Amino acid sequence: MRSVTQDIYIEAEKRQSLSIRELWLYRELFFFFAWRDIKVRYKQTALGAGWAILQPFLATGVFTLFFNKVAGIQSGNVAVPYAVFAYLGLMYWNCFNSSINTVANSLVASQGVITKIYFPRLIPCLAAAALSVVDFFFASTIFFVLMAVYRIPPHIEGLLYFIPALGLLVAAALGIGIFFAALNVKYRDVRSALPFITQLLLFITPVIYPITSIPEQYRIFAFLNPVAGAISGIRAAMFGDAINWNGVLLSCLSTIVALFIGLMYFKKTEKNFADII
Amino acid sequence: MNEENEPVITVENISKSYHIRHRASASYGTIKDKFGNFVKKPLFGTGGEDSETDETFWALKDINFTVNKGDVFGIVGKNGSGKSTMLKILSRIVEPTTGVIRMRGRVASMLEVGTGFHPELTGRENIYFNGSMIGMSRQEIKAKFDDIVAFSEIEKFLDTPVKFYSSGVYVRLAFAVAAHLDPDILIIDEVLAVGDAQFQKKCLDRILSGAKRGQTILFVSHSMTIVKQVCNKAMYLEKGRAKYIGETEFATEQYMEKNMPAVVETHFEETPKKSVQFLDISIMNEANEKVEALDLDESWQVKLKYKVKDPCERTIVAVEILSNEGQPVYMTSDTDYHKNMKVLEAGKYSALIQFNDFHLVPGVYYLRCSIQSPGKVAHDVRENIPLRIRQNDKDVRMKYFDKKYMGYISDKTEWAIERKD
Repeated sequence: MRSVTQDIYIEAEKRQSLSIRELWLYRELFFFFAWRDIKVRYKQTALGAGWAILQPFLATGVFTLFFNKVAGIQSGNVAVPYAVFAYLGLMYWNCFNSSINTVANSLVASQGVITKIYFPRLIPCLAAAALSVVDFFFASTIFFVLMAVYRIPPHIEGLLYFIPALGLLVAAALGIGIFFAALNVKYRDVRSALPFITQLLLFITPVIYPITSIPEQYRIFAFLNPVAGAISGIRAAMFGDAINWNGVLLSCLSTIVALFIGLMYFKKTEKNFADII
Repeated sequence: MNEENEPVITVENISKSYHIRHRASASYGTIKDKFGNFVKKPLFGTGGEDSETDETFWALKDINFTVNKGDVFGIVGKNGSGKSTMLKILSRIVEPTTGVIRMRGRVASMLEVGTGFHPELTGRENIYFNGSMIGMSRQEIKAKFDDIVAFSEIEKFLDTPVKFYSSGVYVRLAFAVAAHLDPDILIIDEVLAVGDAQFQKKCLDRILSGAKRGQTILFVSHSMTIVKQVCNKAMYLEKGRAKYIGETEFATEQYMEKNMPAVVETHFEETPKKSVQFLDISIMNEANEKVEALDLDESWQVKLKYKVKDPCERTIVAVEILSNEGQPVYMTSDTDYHKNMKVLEAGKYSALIQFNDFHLVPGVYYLRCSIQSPGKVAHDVRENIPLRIRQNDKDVRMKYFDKKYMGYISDKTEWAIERKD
């Protein structure tokens, strides 16, 4: 039973939501949700977790062929082949992209339980993000294989920034994702619109091209996009270039804003989820 | 105040309103529908709530009740009377519009069998996920795992994905998990309406034993028989209002009285195609009036009128009494009187069946009348003719046995008791 015996007090219009204490109380449910999502994702698939690797791998192949060989885009660092550069970016980008989309659909996907059981509604959202993080770690193994194949020694800063960059990215994805998850409860347009929007976002984010290809005077605006701070930061750190700290800081700020807006909107609408989902 | 009588659930002035939009057809809109409101109001406003086409619908209005420790509290009412909304508010799934609820202790609710069951997961995996979903800790599930499996009787299928389960096996597993949750307050909705009779009984016993150990149970069901069997207190809801709170017998009585099937035509038009047919079936009370409800222990009779066009060899005219749940209670036929099957000559007949010493306990029953010849399709069958026996609060049985009747037969027996010492 959920830890200590506690009396329950329900009062109209006074629902306690987003209580950290309550989320902590339900931490096991979070793990079960994440565990279930991971199990279900790879059940009855021939490749299983191989999909987490194959997706960025194939995308890298396609991007290398068209953007690097045909369009002539370079990695921005002579020592780093475009394929390694692109794989690193795509690996993070995929995590961001799939987090946003699975988080945004997590509440609607759980509508059966939302209308039948009480639990903090943030739990399925967090579990959905956890799923993308697990995929990220599968995909990252290939990155280190690529580094070894091309004989590029990773910089220690790169290893140190590896997780914080992921943290920044996931926090941003969560902020945006839970906003859309809450919106999705009421307007199912989100389901159709969001994948399209994130697809476009890929091209205005320095994933398949280096941030340095953006003119100097506009570059700082690119960092308003949290993904830019995470990806260009990890690339600079991993390949031994100078990190644009101002840019990374700006990305952190916009992540905080995204999280704040997402949580506020979620909190505002949470109490009606079961009524309108 | 001693502990037994201390309320563990106090519900005060609970109401829940919904806004019905007359134009919108779906429960969720699309942005196109709401774009107007969206522009007029900031995103964080309560979009569109006071638009002119809205109508307020009170799913629940001013509900007050208390439940004591160890009570099994039933909530009865028609579909749409607010039962489920009440349980959802108590389970904290939806928020009340007004009012306050206090609940002492750990609360678990089971509004559906197998909430969160995933078809791709195996039985074993679902036990863990569903257990966690309804409020058990991982350790608790681990400790009770063997009991759960034994209760469900599905060892064989434990490592099969539940999508391959038959619905019966699925329900067993789901209920087994829920039955091993041991909260202080258990909220159950209609879940017993599934599974075979034997398993249902097992589940009921499990619930009742929980109540004996001091567990408090809130129970919603459409089956008055089960409610009468397990609940010691009940509330009858009608259109979101509590019409009666108190004795189970009276709450279920009110439900049955208000929800008798629409008056059934018991006078039948002649159809030239049928060779034998009923013309009229009436239930009469002691005063020889045609009625649909009888007082407890009143003498009554059934009057059958039937017409025979073509002579018919070897026929039986029978009247069966079925309980509200369709269980056969009693059957009588003209062979009781004739001792053997008769040849029916052409003509019109009238049969009066006297139930002078045959009484039923309060509740709703149905008559099924038939005329048949062995080995052939019935000549004519008329079913679902309702009969209700009213409650009588002066009846001595209402004082004892938790104010419940057992079975269907109300007849009293003679007791001769002497002191011998």
